[in-house]
Amino acid sequence: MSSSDKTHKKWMKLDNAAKIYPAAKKRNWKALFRLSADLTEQVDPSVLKDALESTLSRFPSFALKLKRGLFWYYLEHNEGQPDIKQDEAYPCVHMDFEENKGFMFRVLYYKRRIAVEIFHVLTDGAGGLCFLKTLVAEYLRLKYGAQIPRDNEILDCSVAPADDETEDAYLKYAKNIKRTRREPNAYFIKGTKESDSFVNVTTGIIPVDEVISRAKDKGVSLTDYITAALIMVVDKMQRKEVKKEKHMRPVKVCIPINLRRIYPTNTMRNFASYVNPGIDPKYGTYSFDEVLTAVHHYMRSEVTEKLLGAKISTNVRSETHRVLRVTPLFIKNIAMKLTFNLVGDRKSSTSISNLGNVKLPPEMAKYVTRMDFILGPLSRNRIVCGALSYNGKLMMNFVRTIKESTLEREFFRYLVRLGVPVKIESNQRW
Amino acid sequence: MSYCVNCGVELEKGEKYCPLCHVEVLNPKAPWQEPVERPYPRYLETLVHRIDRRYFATLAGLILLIPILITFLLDILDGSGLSWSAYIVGAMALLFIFIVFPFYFKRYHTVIFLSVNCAAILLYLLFIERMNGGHWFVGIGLPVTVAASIGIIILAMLFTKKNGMTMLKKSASVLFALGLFVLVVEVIIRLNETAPFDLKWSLYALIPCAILGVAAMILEHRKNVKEEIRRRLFY
Repeated sequence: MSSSDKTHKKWMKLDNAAKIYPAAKKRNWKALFRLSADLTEQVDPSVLKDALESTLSRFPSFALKLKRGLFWYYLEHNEGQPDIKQDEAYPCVHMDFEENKGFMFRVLYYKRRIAVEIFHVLTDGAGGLCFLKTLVAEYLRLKYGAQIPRDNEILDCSVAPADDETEDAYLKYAKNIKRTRREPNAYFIKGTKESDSFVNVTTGIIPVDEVISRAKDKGVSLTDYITAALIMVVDKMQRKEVKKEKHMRPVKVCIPINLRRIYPTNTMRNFASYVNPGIDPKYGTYSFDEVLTAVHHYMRSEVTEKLLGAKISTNVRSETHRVLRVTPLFIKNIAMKLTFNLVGDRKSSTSISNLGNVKLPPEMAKYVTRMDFILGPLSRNRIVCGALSYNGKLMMNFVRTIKESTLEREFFRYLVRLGVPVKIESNQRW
Repeated sequence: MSYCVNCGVELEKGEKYCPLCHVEVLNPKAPWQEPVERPYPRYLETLVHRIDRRYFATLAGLILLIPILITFLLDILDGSGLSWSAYIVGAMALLFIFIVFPFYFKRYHTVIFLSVNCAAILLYLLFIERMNGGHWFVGIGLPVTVAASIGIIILAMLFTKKNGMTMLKKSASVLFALGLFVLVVEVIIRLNETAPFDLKWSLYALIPCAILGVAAMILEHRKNVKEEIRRRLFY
């Protein structure tokens, strides 16, 4: 970087989805998520450091720090790179930006595992996966001299970053239309908070073919199938807790949707939306097949270019509202915080984010034994699930900030009863 | 390779208990051993214990400073020096001790906090007496405040959740305490007067309080009557 660049540091606006996160963050909570890859051998931290350096030069949208403007937060180029750290007893430990040299992500290692934990302002799960894949590819290149073919998911670090990789794709595809965001609040899963803010992780390792074949028998997708199972379990939990059917709240599961599958873009920043499929237990007890049908058809009708387009357009419209734009940041923050607390994750009982089947080129796959996707704890909902499939295994990582493991227990037992073999791993203390 | 007997899931080698149902993993063929490689390290570096309560208390204290400063300034500016604003400063200090002070502690220590409150009120009363030049603190202010505080502390100790008193019992004890308190107040006032000692008005308060209290106690032990009343008064 030349000296003139240094005096006029590069900066960018927060993308449309990122805008809520700095306002919503609390002193001891930020929206984080984590992606990790397990290798065949122990990780060498000094090589990892070099790999991070070359990866970061290819991802300008990660070398950023958060700054306060008069009207909005903005992102400014951040020199250097964060320290590589040892992994800790639980994922997504609260991130202090100052301690982290202003960076909003961190790279961790533990035995054979490389993990990145990212603040949601920077990117979404798909963008994070690109970063992790590129980081691991660079590590393997430096460590073993592996020749890994580069594409638009494993980026080539020897070429300069393209402009369209840092675009705000929401603005690109927003139309001048509006769609209501109103929907009823969902059932809230209660529990006893862990006193020391420990985060419990329970990983279910499931042969992906077993689930896919069962889903196919029912004519639905894998995500539909596990979502329906999750809804069945949450419904059962509510029926135990709430005695009268008329007092029951809808059981809904929030599913993030990767918009890159619908709108072409190369952006490495946030470009996702969500849908909340579910059932209303007031109307009676649903069978598994009924839930499957409800979820399947809800997803088919909601996850469409038209409806998702309307959803993102609504969000972009509120961002571009004239009065809102000239409101000072501190007032905006109060309003956004209030909105987030009132709406935020109240519309769903839990959340399941499935990154789908992760494919690596064979030159890389032979070094990578396992991959995981973990959502950090949400601000309100106590249990969330991150999932991805790699190497024929579906990895479902439940993260929980309460002591009661009812949801995971009932969920995995449910899968076992459906005939799906499940292997469990955890970070429980004894 | 062990399975949980409860959940039917296979468990990773290192798991001592089933992470789902916490039942111990007992496999006679493969007894549990401390795993060489745990899925996550034990080590935890950044555990930040920030106590929100203290933060709130300090903030509330700062907010209380605003009226103090305003009245103080107004009082000084009118030229006659510090006069009426001292009462407001005292009242704000009381408010701080009543409401904000307990937030500095993890638990609500009933007896300690109520005693502190009593002491604070006494100080404030003494201060008012000194400002106005009366002679009522030692004779009336002090004993009445102490009597009221003792009554409240006893009631607070009786009304703990552990005791599990019913509403009727609680009302009965409040009524008794109120009657007694009125009596004590009159005794204190009479003792400070030069006139011959006799009780007058406090009896008019004590008698109905006592009767109502006894009625509540009796009612408490009459299940049928309680049920009857509930039936007639249902809404």
